[in-house]
Amino acid sequence: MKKKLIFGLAAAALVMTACDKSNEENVQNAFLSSAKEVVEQYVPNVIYSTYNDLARESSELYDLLADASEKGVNALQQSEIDAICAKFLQARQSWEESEAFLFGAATDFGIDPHIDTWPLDVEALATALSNAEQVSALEGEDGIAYASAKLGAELLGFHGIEFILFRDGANRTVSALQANEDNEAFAGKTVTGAQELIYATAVAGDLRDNCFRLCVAWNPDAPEAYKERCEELEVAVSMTGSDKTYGENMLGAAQLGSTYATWQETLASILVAGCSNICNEVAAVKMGNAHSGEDVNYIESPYSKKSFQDFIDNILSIQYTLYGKAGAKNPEKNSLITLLNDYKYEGINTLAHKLEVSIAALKVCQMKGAFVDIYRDASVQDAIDVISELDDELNNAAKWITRQ
Amino acid sequence: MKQKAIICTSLIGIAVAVVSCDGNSSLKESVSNREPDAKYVGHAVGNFSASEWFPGGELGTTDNVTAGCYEDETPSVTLQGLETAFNLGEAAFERKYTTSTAPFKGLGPAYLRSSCLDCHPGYGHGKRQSEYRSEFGNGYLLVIYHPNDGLNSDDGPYVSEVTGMPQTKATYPFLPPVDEEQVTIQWLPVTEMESGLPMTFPDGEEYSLIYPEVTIPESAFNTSPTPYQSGPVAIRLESTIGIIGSGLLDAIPQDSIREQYRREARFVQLNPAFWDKEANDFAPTAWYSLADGQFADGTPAPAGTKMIKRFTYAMTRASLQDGAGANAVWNITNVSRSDRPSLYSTKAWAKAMSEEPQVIAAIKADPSSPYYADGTEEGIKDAVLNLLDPATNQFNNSWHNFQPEMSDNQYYNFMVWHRGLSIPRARNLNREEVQLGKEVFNRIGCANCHRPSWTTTDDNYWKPTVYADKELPRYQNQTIWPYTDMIQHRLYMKNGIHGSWCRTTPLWGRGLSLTNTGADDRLHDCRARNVIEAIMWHGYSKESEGYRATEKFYNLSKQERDAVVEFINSI
Repeated sequence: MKKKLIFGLAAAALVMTACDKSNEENVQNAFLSSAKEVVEQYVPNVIYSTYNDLARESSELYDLLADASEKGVNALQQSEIDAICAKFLQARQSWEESEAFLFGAATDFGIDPHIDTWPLDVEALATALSNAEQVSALEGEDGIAYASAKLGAELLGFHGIEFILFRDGANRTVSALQANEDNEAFAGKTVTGAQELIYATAVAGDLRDNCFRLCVAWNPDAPEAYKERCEELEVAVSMTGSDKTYGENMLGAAQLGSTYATWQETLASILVAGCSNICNEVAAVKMGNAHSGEDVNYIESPYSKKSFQDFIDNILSIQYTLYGKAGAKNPEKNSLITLLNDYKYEGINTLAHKLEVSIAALKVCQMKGAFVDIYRDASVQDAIDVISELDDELNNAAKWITRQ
Repeated sequence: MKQKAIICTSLIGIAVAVVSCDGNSSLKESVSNREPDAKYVGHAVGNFSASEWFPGGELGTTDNVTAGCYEDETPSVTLQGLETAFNLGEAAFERKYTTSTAPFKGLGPAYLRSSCLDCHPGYGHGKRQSEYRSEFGNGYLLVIYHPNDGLNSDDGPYVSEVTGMPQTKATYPFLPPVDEEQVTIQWLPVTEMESGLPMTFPDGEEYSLIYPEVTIPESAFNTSPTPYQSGPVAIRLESTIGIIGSGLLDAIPQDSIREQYRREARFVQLNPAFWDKEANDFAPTAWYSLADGQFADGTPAPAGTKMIKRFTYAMTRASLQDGAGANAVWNITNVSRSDRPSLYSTKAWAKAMSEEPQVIAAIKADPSSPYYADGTEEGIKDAVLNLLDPATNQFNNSWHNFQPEMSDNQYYNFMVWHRGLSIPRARNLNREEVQLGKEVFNRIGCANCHRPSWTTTDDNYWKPTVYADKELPRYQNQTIWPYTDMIQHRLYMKNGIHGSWCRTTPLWGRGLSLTNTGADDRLHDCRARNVIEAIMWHGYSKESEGYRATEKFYNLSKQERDAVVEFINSI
């Protein structure tokens, strides 16, 4: 009897444990279902959307530059140069807003270091543009292929175009482009504005092609024109050893064939490999390296002086990821923030607050001047501190998710 | 056995109860409900000890296992307050070196790549290439040598006309020592294993192997003379080796390595260049002579202080602080610094450039060129010949005195970063498949060379005079799990590794390669496209020191083979 009682108790205990376990499993299943919905919201509405914008804007930038180059620098109006500069900044903004998901194609294919190469090798650029043969090779449709294969990565990407379009924080003037280049690295060399535009056009073409590739490598339904261009270039647009795009891989998480074994791991990757990575990069590297006093030359975007805007756009990239939609000012229904809130994550308010104050701190810096002019200012340290705290919160949230 | 029974009882209990609660459940594990490992981290589980979750020890492991985790700093970096130096050093690794734009200037005149990241994509191993271009993802070094048999032996002395790591790029107006567009790489299939092992496992599953055949014609060499003028030439590929956790390998005590040699010398023929079997001790050539410096505890290490070689496939370097990375940031880019006042070049290239009419004409047209001399052809030729000579001190010579291009502080930051790269924590050790894989890995003898763990002591590392007053990340009294014996072995692969001997590659963190880099190529030239291929190459020849273990692997069931792969991808 006693034995039976013990057995009965044990059985009851087991049943209770099992029921608790069952309830726990139900909660977990609900969490996994929510996590899946978050990813299904995030991939098309943040990643596909941002890369689509980037591809379209970089293509428009190339077209504007090609038109300007063909028209000839002497026939250009200031308004046309201003329009090209505005388009550059628009494409640049989309790129910066994509930096919370540099994992995947941007890293695996080396697109990030290719199109965001820094610093620009100004002396090598002066040598290249004073070589008539090389300028001729950069001209016309074949110029893009030449730039991509022969120019050298130190002369490619956003910062090369930025050098041609901006100086000392302002758009280049028509008169500057109609005269010979007077940057000190060009001393003793004769380089015309027309030659600079030929270079900028070829580099913009290479930039456009890489942005198309990003779009196609993520989104299986990317525009046909982008796919055709990638085919023409014979570049890989699927994951290694697979015919899946990066988007399909992420959306297929927790299934055989995906590199994401669980939904928890997928969300943690979005938060850590994506958001935390750029958060740390902004605070510790992009701002921290220059602010450390080691060398002012650690500042990127020195020609347009838009560093603070780049940093704000990077943090906005985190915001859009957390809110579930590019450009979102509030969380979407199936966003990460909503999930954390629905499942009672204790750190949700702190995370939301740190996001808000990070952007505010960067705006305070921006009001004071360009980064290159105030990089040692106390406001920069304040921004570094709060962005570092945001980084901690992103990691805390990821840790909580992996334990669900 | 008892424990297993208890688990079964529990599972049955839960199954019954679950049915009674919601009537809908399955005990069968599928990927979709695989349990995350987070709650097991730091706890002993199955046949894994708690410490195996942290392959770099507590001071050397990052808890991050997502994309980008190879970039993480160790906890030591943070504990020692070295984050700023680490971040500055990271920029030196990731960014492009330029001709003269600060902060990363001094590229050339001949170089291999303009950025470290090109060879270490995603901080990992290089990726397999089918053409040789100095660009992102190509981690190959061309190994160009005169084969001992005159044909295709893996052994033979390096050619002297190009640098040991041959350069295929040059800044204007120079020509690269090797024209990379003339380099061809063919990947050929293995039709049968020299050892006789079939290319189908006993259960019918097939595997395939490929190997590289590389050619460079004489016309590709911009040197005078060319290497072909002194005999037949053979070429091998060597891809970049892993950089994560190398600071931890630097911390392994020399005496522990000696004991490992003693243990293995009883069973296998070790490289006589490293181990004197008769003396049962290191051979004289196993020792490396260090430059002037000091140890971490302040003890002086005058020039000539000896240390055992442990780094690179060929084990050419002793201390990480004078290892592959410390040299690569100089010789891959040819960026000079105060302790590297010479160019990485050869006399044969300097001579060829001094005789190249287009080079001389370009310099003659540019009076601001450091090679301009007196502006005459003879003067320019003399300046080119001497300034490109590897024996010329770039900072103190009769032709043009350059300034160091990398500051001492930049170099120090770079080394903080290098010694501060962590190892990601292990994954999935709670899974039965991974536990089975560990058991099989040990049982069939993989662990004989891929030694699982080492214990560090005081990590009294060496550092050069140039930053002797500064500290680096330190890893004292840590149990680490790199899976290497730090000893060379021979695998006798088809078109294998130059020199035949290759240090056992650490396996830690390699399972995250695809996540971090988008590629999962393995072995010294990326010939293995997956773990199975990497293992089977160990059995290509019966002479291979890994043959017996590979033969056992070949005869395992599919379940056990897969378990070994899972284990390797988890540690």
